[in-house]
Amino acid sequence: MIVEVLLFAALREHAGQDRVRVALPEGARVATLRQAIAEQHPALASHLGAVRVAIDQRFGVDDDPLAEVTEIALIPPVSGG
Amino acid sequence: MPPHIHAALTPQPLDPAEIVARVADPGCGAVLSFLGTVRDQHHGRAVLRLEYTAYEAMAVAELERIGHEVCARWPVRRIALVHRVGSLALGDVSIAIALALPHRREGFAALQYAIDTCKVRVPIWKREHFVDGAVEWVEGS
Repeated sequence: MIVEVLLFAALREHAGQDRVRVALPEGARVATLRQAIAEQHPALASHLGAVRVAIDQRFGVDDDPLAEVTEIALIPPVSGG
Repeated sequence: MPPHIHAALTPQPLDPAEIVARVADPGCGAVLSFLGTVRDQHHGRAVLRLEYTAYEAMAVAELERIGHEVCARWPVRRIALVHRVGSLALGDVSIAIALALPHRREGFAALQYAIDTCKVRVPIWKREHFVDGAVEWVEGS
């Protein structure tokens, strides 16, 4: 399956765009997504260490499945407040 | 009665009086508020201005979730959490949190939890514009 992943802050600059498309195997989980992004989008690979994944506007964990998810975003360490 | 939670983002200047007024409640004897303000330096470097950008839908959702957590853990009846986005000048208010509860004693811990949690969970990012011309994203609080 192909998913669209929203990018924010410095990640947008590294990618040169505000979202990237990522090819994933069926049944993929959040952990698979990180690996796939690093492989398919090398410009982002070295910037993923402290990044969290949000699925449907909630923070996800590595085991969360992506099959039914409609919105995925990469969340660099936040600096609001 | 269920707690009253107001969570929002706005590009407009924040008015602390307006946010405090939102949590007024005749059953509450204490109102506490926190304001985050734009400082003139970051790690010793002079700052000209800041920009805040947000993953807006999730930022509002997280502000609301944090509001619910505060009301679940402490006897808070009303809470408002508002963050400004866009370009801010030195001294501008970036975030305002106000809460109301019957008695003041537990309000301080509740307010501290609210701001501390917002600073690590809400998907908003600050970009510093320095006096020396550099422009840099800040990662982490």
